[in-house]
Amino acid sequence: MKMWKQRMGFLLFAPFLFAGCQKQSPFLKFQAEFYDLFDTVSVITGYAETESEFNRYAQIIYDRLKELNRLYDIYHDYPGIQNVKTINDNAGAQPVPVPQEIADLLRESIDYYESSGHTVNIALGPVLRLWHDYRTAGISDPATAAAPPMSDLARANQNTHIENVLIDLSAQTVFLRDKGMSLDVGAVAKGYAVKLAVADAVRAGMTSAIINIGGNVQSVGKPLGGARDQWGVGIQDPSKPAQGSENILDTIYINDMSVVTSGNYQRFYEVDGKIYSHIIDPERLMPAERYSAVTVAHPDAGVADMLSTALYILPLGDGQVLSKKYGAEALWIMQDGSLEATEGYKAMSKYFGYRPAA
Amino acid sequence: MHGGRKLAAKTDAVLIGAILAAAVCALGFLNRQESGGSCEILVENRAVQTISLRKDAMFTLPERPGIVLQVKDHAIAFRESDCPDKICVHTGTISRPGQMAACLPNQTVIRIRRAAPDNGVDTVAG
Repeated sequence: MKMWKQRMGFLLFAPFLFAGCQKQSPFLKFQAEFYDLFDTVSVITGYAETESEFNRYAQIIYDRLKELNRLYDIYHDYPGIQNVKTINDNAGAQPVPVPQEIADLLRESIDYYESSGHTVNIALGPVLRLWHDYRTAGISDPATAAAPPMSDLARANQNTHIENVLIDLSAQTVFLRDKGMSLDVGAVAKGYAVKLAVADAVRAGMTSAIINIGGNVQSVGKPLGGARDQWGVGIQDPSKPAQGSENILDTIYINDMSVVTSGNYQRFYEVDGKIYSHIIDPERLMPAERYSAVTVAHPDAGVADMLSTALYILPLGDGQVLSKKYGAEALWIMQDGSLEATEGYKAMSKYFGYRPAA
Repeated sequence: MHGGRKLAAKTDAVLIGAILAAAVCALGFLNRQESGGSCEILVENRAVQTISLRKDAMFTLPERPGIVLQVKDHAIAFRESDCPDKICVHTGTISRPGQMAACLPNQTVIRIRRAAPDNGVDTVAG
């Protein structure tokens, strides 16, 4: 399989392609990967009649994601761009005019705070920052890895009141009323960005693709190769290392659906042999530890992303109620490896007996 | 000695014929297994296009306007070329995975791709 590389902005964009499948189909399967967005690996897989058509869609998705990555960034400034960091930098000082994409995401996220049972809070910035710094230090020097002192966490938590995020929709500005507060959109931004980027490509004519931005999967249409009418999405086994196909615990078959997994096996660090995931329970100010992973399926990539964090934090019963409220399907992988799933999840799961029609 | 050599040549010819026949059968078998597919087009050692062999077409390359390629019945061929030797056109049609045809003066190669096996998983959420 010949691989070639093409310059795309600043990064290497390496589309490689496969021939189609068994049945007669004029469509070919293509794949493009990039590594410079949202601190993760992005893979676009799709069917198109020509490589140039596929590349056009991949470019649209890439360009949009790149733009949104900058807007939702809390660590970097970009020339000529007002992003979430700009809002944070102006906390307690002044309202910041922001693009529609930021205002919309923040407004949706404020609603999520209530609807997620207070588990998804974009104003948790000061607490998440503390954990981020201790995690980064702990990964670079495991011998001295430590958890932030609870007194520090409690102090940081005084500046996490989401009511202090003021969005003026008519002026399209965002103001953080509390000088000590900061936004962190990590639990919601990727899914929302995937939703917008995929919508752009669909408007441009994309009919058959599956986009995976670091575990945020959004599918469009059906695979046009002819082998199956549904996309197969592998669910990673959290107890096994991340490469190769033998680490897939389950496969679910979907159309026009988003699938997102939150887990403790990708971004984490160890303190005295205990694994601390990057997902922080706002109530305890400590890493969530009920499950090794939770997978959520929902047509809206933004909702799926938010719910995967919420369900990862919530007790099983509350999570089941929440997923039902949103009409989402979910799989909970317990710490002991046992599985819980909604009925709708089971109905599309290979593990639970579903087989896609050929 | 002279006669012995001739005999050897005759035996060789039979052997070669048998191998060729077996090869043709094997290729036929392969062909049935891996029908259709696609063709990768390389110009100056760079993949410029991949074309499906499941749809008949006659086309030229933007990079090489003097070349005309034709897809017909799941096979592809150089139909015309502005090169001096026309070896590419004489190569005829190719259709089996791994098969190649080349127009060296134009630095253009067409190559049939191998079909990727479908393992039921398109992407992994995790």
